Amino acid sequence: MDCGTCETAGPVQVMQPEVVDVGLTISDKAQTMLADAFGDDRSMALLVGVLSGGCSGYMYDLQIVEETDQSCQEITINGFRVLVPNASSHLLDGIEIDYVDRLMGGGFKINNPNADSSCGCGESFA
Amino acid sequence: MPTAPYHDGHLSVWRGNDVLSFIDGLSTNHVLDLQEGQFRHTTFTTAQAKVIDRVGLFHMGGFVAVFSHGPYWDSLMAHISPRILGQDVTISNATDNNNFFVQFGVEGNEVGTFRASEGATVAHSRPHLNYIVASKNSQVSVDSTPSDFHEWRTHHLIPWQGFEITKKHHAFACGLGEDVHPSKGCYIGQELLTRMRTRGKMGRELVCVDTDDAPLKDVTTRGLSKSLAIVRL
Repeated sequence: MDCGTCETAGPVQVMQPEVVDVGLTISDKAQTMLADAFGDDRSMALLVGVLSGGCSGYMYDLQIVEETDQSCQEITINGFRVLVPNASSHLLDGIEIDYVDRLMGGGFKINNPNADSSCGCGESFA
Repeated sequence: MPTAPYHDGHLSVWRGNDVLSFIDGLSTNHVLDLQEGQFRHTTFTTAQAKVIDRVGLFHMGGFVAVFSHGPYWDSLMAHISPRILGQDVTISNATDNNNFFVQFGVEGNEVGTFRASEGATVAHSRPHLNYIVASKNSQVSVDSTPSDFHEWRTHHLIPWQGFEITKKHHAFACGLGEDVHPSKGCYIGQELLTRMRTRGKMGRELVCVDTDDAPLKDVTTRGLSKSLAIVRL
């Protein structure tokens, strides 16, 4: 192996999932919590993405951002900006963003009709 | 040091800021801290903790070279490709530019490192065993055969892809416990492997037995005097 052989290596075709128009909902409880998090500043957005990893292979990634470099769909729900990366849109169409209020394992929760199975902690799915 | 060709070797070049976190999130070993000049094995497993492929990672500085096994490449890609999503990971295939060898019976190799010289990169895979990835225009002198290598590793209880390491068995049964990090975060198959380890119940185990006494159905590598078998505990 040397630099030359690696530089000339042919690209491997990886799966490019179909981009779908995402529809999602946010529960009343989650909207209340988002309002607390955002305050009066509605220029910020909730980025809802998916990363690889976790017990089930895919992990939710929730962030509050101003902008992102990722190619995203922007959805506005009751004044909240929600960004969904096109790369993971096929995994997120139809989700409900909920908030679970309990001492252990509480926080934002994604109810995902596309998930065949989920990790016990709710952070990853397959 | 005997050196034998390894015809099933496969080499891919993985580039991008997310490569190590991507591999770490989907395989058994902790690789986030891999540094330039280091070599480390990790294993991709199914949700049932069965082995898809065991790979060796060369941290080359600007990219990670992944040594894997040709017959299992399609399965590995089917596993990882849908999970790249929008992450900064691009993969190229450098297999056709290289030849692959194993060097065994090596004394004093510094496991977890590699060195490159004149187009040949030598990874110290485990005590007494090196992998060599050599560009097609470099010279590696071969003085042994794959059969000699398999005979040697049988005596040293070293599992090999396609023999012990197959999708029929989980990582512990294959003898890959060293690849299963005891405290890293979640990955596919982690719950099962962690449960097996904490309960001390692996189900099956890789053993070296006398060939004459080896139970035929459990034998994975049959040697002249010794054989490897995966037997129920």
